[in-house]
Amino acid sequence: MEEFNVNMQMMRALIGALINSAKKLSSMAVETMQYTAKQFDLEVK
Amino acid sequence: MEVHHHPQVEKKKIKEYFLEFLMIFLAVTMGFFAENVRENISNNERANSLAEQLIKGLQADTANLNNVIAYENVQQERIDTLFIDLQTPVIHADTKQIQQLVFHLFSLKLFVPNIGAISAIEKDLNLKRISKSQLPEKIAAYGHGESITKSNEEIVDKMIGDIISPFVKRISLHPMRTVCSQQTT
Repeated sequence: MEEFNVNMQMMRALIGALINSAKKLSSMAVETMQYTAKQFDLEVK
Repeated sequence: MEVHHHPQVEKKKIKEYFLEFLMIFLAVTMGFFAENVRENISNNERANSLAEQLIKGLQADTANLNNVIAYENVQQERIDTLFIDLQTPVIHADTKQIQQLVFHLFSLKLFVPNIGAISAIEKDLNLKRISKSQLPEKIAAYGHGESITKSNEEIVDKMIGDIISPFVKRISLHPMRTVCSQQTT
């Protein structure tokens, strides 16, 4: 059980890494979207 | 004796030749400019349509990513609850809750990126309006971020298989694994 708990904490940390990379990617998407809209005079709905 | 009179042919003056040349030159030049303008308009239309597609794709990606983030935050909370539950003495443990938590930890919300517009732009990088902007760099950076997210996802998926599966087998739960993949829009 002890080993399982350690593994669960490791998995928690990995999920944290996944969340962070997803957050970073999401902000990159928003930035690229805003840049494209500005560059091509488009409206972001 | 017969005398042949040749009709007098008016000789073209240099000025006339020059005028003819000028007219041909102007016609060719105008044609060239017209073709250039036409090509420019069509390139701009193509670039604009690609930009619109890109924005739509990125909007869908953002929505998908927000779903993934929200779902994985809940998964972290489940792990915390499971951790506390597993510290409780067996007699007082809420077995049903433990089973439910383990069952939920089997699932992973996958991020499915919208790559259509990005691949189309990568094929049309020669379009002036795109090549002169920072869009190629931004798209490359986004692609890099996307592959990092996908590898993190694969690691978590592997961990689920390596950690949760044996645990489920040990506590005699049905090893049902649900992978909720997001629908591409």
